[in-house]
Amino acid sequence: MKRKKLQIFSKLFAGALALSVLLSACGGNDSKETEKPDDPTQKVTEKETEKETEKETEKETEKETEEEEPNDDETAERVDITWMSVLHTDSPPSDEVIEAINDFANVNLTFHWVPASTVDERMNTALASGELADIVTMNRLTNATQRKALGSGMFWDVEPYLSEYENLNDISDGRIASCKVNGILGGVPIVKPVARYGLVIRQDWLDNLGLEVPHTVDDLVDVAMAFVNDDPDGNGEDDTYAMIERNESWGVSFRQVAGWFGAPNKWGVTEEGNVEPWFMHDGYFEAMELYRDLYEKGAINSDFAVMEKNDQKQAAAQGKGGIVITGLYDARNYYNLAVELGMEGEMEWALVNDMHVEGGEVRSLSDTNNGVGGVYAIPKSEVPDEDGMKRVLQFMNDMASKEGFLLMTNGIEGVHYEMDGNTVVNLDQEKWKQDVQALSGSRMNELVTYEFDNSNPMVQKSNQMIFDNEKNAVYDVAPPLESETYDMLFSQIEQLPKDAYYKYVMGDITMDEVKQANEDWLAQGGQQMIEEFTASYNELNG
Amino acid sequence: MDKQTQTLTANTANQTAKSSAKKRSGKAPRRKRSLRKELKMNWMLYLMILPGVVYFLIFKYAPMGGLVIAFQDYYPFLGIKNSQWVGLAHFKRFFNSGVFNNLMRNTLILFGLNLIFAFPSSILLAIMLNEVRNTRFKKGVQTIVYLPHFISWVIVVSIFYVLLTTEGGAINNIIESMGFAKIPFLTNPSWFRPLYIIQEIWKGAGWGSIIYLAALTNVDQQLYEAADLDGASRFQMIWHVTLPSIRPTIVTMLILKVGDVLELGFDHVYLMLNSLNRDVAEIFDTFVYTAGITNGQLSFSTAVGFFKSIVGLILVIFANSMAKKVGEEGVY
Repeated sequence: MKRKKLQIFSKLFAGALALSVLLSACGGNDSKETEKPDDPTQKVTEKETEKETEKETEKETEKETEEEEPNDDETAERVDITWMSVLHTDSPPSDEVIEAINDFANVNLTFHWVPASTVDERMNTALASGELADIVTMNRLTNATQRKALGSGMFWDVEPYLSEYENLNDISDGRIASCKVNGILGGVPIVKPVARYGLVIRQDWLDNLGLEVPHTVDDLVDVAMAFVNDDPDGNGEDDTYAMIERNESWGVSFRQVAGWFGAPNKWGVTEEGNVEPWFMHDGYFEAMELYRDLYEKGAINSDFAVMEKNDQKQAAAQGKGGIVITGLYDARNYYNLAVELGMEGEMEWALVNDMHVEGGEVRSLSDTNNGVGGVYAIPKSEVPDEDGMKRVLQFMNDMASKEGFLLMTNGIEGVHYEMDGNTVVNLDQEKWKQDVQALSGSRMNELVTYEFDNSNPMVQKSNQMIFDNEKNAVYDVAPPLESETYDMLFSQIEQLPKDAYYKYVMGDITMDEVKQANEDWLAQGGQQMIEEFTASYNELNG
Repeated sequence: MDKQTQTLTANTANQTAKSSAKKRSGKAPRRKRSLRKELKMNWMLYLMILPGVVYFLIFKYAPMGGLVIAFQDYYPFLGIKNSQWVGLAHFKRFFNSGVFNNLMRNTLILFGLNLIFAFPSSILLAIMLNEVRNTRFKKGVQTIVYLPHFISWVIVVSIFYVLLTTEGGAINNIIESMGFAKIPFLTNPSWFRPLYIIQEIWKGAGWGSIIYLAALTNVDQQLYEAADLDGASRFQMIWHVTLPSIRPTIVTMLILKVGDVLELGFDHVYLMLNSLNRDVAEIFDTFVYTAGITNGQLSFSTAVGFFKSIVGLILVIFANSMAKKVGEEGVY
């Protein structure tokens, strides 16, 4: 009797434990749609690095030559700065580079590393107990604790000061807006590329068929049909489809396509001033019609609803299809995989970042939470006076410069890398890992990457295009807004429009049923989200 | 399954201990006094069991206090003390969410199929292996059928994806080459349940048969000899000797299985779940994952987990009493 009871209760406990494990496991990932960039510029031992690094720890290999000291007065006394930051690698960096940073920025920097796996718990306790550092890396703006802290006023509202610093001045308004909680910018936004998505398409197939790279949706459809019907790989067999979609299609590639048709990025403001989700926009339904049509004609892989990301990559590398709507950096990954599979030289990808409907504008929806990875916050408890806060901002400004970026990304010239014209050559991958890799997760501004050239033309091209995407970027309006219903219910009821999408594209249901799914969504809490977001939006903007 | 194996071993020990306790307690009706006496007499034995008891108290019973967060709006940084008390709000949300009936139905159907097909498959396999006379062949087959147990669900589901996908899947290629239309095994809702059961059997039957094979080794060979003399055929021997001999084991396993009615295994279903088969494939665990955990709603997730455990507990008690009614030894 007792034993059995124990058994049952232990199951209860095990269940709770499993929940907590799951929770912390998925805690690391703010948004499903934010994909890990297979690093755009890395040359050496890609596999190893891919395995061992988080998305933040990309390694850049470029650098420019100027050796300019920051504005600091050489004679000024060094300032002690502590920094509580997230460690995405197994071990912290060695002192060598930190010393170089100290010399460069005229500070005495001490890192308090928080391993990425325990960052939520550690941050919870740190915020609760007030044991913080001069700089606190708050990398999860959706986490309830971090949000509450940022909106509470316990950190300096840095917004008014940013314009005084040359390297912090140009952080885009969209990013700043995304980081605000209760209208307070609780820290300096961690800048990432805002929109990395585009269309990658097989250039060699286009050439075989005598077609041009498409830039409008109509052209895309023509090309897609040609890829399906005209044997683009010239092997005499009818064995190709056009677009390779995968099971995350709805939230990833299809979201981009809906964006071309004018749908907002997740949440947008309507003409009536309501904050509404993208799946209620007309563009969403138009894009769905397009997909259904393409699917019916065999232009989309028939198993897309169950295809995993890695299978998609395989299919692209094996030439089963020739069009992928994905991160522009992926073209090189497909190419590399094809080389691994022994198909070297048979594949050429064109990149397109200006897809649009005829007469419409180019819209690149942000796939990286509006291009921010959180904020570097300065707590008032640690830095009580304005002058001290400005000195910390000055340090951040220095680290956001090209030189600061290189120090945290590549290390020390002559020790970790050497210059080859405008290209960095890594000297010792192992040494880089020990000394520098961990620091690259604490960079101020990853856009600096794109100011350098890359020796790989494909990477160079995608870097350029991702950088260019910024001007057409469409931001999600929801991050700075508050809605309790959203926090509680969204992931549950978003299944309704999502499932309807797959069923409609595969021809299982009618458009009326799609609209009905939206109605159900509204009835089960969506209406409340719209109202709460709209109220919050009006409060902030008006 | 290994969990069940453990329990069973523990359980057998428990039964033995209990039956001897019964005999003794029959002679000593005043329990309280006898307990004290017992402690005094066998203090060394109790000392030995102490670490186990302490272990259960600390690691199994004490954490159960955490269940209170099912009745709170729990935030880790507020802690249990400061989190807001919301009573049954999470349970209400769960039961009124409109999906509850669907989840219950899917869970029960999958469980029923499991009970009808997957559960007997182990018994069947054990009996078949038991009938094999060539020891080397028997051992070989045994080893091979155990192996799938050690393959994780991710791999199993991936293998089925590779075999069954409509774009170059082996099975669909065969179907197509024979002139039939491709079958969307993975996206057609009516294929979900058969696939689920097939995968369960493929992965679990071999491992599950271990316990029955162990039970079968204890069957008195004289019974077979006697049956043989009476002119019983192989099937009659299975029916009248083998099965009755392992009946207690089967009943015990069944009761344990019933306790797991709402625990179908998150990863298996979650991996097979997609937007097209959600109507038949969504179960409690997957729902909790999407609705609760991905949003960090610890309290809601705990409430659902709590509900599942209570249902499991009730069913175990029910199954146990049923087993006793039909004259079998229960698990307690």
